[in-house]
Amino acid sequence: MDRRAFMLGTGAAILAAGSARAQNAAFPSYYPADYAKIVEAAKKEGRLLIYSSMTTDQWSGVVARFRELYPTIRVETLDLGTSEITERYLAERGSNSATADLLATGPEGFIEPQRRGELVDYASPERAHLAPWSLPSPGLYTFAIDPVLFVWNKAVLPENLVPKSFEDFVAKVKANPQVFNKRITTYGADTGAYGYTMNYAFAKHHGEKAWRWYEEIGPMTRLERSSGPMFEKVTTGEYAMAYLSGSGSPWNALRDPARAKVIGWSFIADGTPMMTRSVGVMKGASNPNAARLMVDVMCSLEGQKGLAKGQRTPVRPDVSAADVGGAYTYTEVVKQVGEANIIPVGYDAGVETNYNSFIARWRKAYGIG
Amino acid sequence: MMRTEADALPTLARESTGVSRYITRSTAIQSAVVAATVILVFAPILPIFYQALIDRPLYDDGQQFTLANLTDLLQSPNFWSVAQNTLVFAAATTIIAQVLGTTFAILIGRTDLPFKSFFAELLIWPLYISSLVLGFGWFMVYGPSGFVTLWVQSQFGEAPWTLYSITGMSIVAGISQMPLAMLYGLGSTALSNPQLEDAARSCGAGPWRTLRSVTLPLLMPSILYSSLLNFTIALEMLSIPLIFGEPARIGFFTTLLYTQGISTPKPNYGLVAAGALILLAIVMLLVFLQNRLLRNSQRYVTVGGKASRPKTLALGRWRLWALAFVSVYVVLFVILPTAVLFLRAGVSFLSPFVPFWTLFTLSHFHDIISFPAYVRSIVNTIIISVVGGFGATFFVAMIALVARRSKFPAADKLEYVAMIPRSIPGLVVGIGFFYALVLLPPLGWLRNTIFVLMVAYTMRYIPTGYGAISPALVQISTDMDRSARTTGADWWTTVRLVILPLIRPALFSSFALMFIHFFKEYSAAVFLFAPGSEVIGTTLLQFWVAGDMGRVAALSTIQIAVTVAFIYGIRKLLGVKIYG
Repeated sequence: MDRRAFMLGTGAAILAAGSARAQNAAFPSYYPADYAKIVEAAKKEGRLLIYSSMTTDQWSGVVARFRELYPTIRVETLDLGTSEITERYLAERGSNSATADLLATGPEGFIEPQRRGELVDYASPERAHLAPWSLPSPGLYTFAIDPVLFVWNKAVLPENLVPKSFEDFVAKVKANPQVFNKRITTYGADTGAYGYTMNYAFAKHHGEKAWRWYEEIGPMTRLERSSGPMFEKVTTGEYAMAYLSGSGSPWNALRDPARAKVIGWSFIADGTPMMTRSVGVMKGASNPNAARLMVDVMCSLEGQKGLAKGQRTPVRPDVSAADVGGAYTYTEVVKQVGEANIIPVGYDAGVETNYNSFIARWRKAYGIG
Repeated sequence: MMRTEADALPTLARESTGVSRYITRSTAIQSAVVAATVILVFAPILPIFYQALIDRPLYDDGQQFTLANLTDLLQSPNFWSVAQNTLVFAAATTIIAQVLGTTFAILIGRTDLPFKSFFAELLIWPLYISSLVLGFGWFMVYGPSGFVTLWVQSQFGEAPWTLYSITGMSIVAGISQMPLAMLYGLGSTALSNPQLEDAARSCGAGPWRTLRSVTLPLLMPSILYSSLLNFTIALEMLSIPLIFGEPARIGFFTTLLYTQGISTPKPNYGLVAAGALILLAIVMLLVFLQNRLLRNSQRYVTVGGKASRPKTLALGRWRLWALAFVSVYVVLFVILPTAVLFLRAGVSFLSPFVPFWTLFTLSHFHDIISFPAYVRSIVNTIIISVVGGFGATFFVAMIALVARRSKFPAADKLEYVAMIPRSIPGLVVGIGFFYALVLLPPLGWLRNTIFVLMVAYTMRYIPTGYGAISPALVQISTDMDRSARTTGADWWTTVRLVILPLIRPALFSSFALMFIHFFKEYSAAVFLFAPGSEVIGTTLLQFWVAGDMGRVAALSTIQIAVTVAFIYGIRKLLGVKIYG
């Protein structure tokens, strides 16, 4: 009771402070004339619930931007495991209980909702400003990417063993088992959607070559569920190196100069998988208008800057490095790696139909039971 | 249901129990307690049964009954290796916990070891801390790049242990479960009759012979009881298998459920439910065996009417060795893992390649207090532990009173129902309540509140509270009830004015136990939390997954600090000594 009263109190205070600004917020000229109608309806809804796998502080930048525009709408985010996002939505929808307005997750999370027609086909006015690749299907908007990296411990891995490409990496591991055996790590493809979809795209890109690589290095690899423990263990030297590792944790940690002395990283020259995160308005939304506003904010220039504050790499082509304090953007990554070496991990129906056969083959290559 | 049973009784019998046919205040309360217990215990179990027997997720249309889930599980290639790992791990954990726990119980309870009460205090510590947090601590000290491991490597070239093995994990789990075995043992040694030992001594038995032939056999009931408890806890443990088993590819039952139910791209609920059922069956069997084994517990009753002070066993020249052993144990396994956790909370990162004293920072604590959601997880946890702990204690006390002190038909079966939650892993409790709420839309408002967490936790810890209250109830003679009844008090008045005040110390310790367990619980919350109802445990897991080890350590530090404050506060205020 006290907590609720407190929250209402702060809400009211923010409301009073923000309303003056909000009235002045003019929308860009390319927004439709009747946009104010959505805004009005959203204000009546007054709240917004998002299921995602991003933490509260990763959301904080873009939510701050949203609150700046719509101070009366309360935004709540729930941080769940990648598969749980979809499953929880479907379970709640299946039983007609209240559920999320927006889902923000990898493309694989939208396969099942899409098949069930759970996605609202919302045409954001920001559409024209987004790259075509970032609009995988109607109603779905890619709002951030996560390039996949090599990350190593400089004190453990001698300079001459730092790999230049995946091919080179496999050769070096093979030639130096005393350095690499049981001291390299990556995501398990069988324990989470992130590891699975990324490996699926990687293997699809390289074909049989990828499977030969897996067979060479798989049995020497320790597997982790998430980039957190992976990166912590590279820092302490338990692992010499992480391959196909997410970029969020390392890039964030490397802002600390002391840590930058210990950690080295690179893109993967002969093929850098690029994970994507998408957002979509759901049919089960209780606050469909507020959800539409959030999609527009997340795709807008200011919203993308806000996402960058939460270490989400922006995708909008007109976001410059200067906009995001020198951090990477999609454009910058493409410039460094080269268009041909980007492996987009996107919406692919095969991801679902080939699950069992892929996992069986992957487990065999990695020498798992 | 009760009515139909009563109706079916022969007329004669019905007349003798005639009183219960009338609805009085007391029978109404008793029926309500029984109904609430049955609903609470079966609410999460029934949906799991149902899910195990249908061919698609619970929420989908067109369900068909099938046995495929069970046969699929039993035929899946890694099922048997997972089952074997789990059983070996649980057995080894139990043996380690029991051997250590019994040793410490005898050293502290029966010998002249110096600084006994000081050591007792420290040895119990791991019990107050979530095994998730303990796992992190161990990882930072004894993991492959842990401080002690690296030091030993630098001295001897190779550290002779690895935590990434069933043996290593069993040691971690065994040491964290040791306090339970020790406490049950201590409770038993405190009650043991020194005359029996004296008798042995006067027949010429030396101290060791006495220990072996008298003291240890008398501890058997407590050893057996805590063995089964520890075995069950090891079976359903998620944290240690997740932290140490996964990287080494050692699969366990709980990690299988976790992967199949939460983290895989294609969750297979039927398989999860079938797995949960198998786990349930194993633990039920164990509980049944335990009840059978302890049926003749009269044999171990040693408390006579004559008061006497237990004579402690003189260790003689072994005294210093015992002191050294206990000290080394406490430093290595209690103090070091906790200290490194605190250290990790106060530095930006820990790496052997950078001296840690150049990295001190308060930023992890600052990060936690500057986000409302994280602060809320702490506030929520405290509210749940205090309010929920209080409610749970009251509820469990009512169950115990109905089961032990009422003429309610089938009251003895109530105790059995109340013990069922012990056989359900926390993760399964969470899944079950989630299903139950999804299936019953009128209860939908409960979701996204901390109330549902209190309900789920209460269900999970009924047996724990019952274990604290029921023995106290047994010690109070039924003469009390009868004399109150003869002066005209009904059952409820008797219970309220006579019995409850008499068992107040047991109620306090039940509350303390509930608080501690609610405070460190996380597995039941994983499926149930929502924005606004975050708890420390779920936030810890999120930090771990997001790779914020500094925040994991900082939040763990906060968790430990609140627990310490609570334990010492409650000891001062209420004079409660948790566990005996």
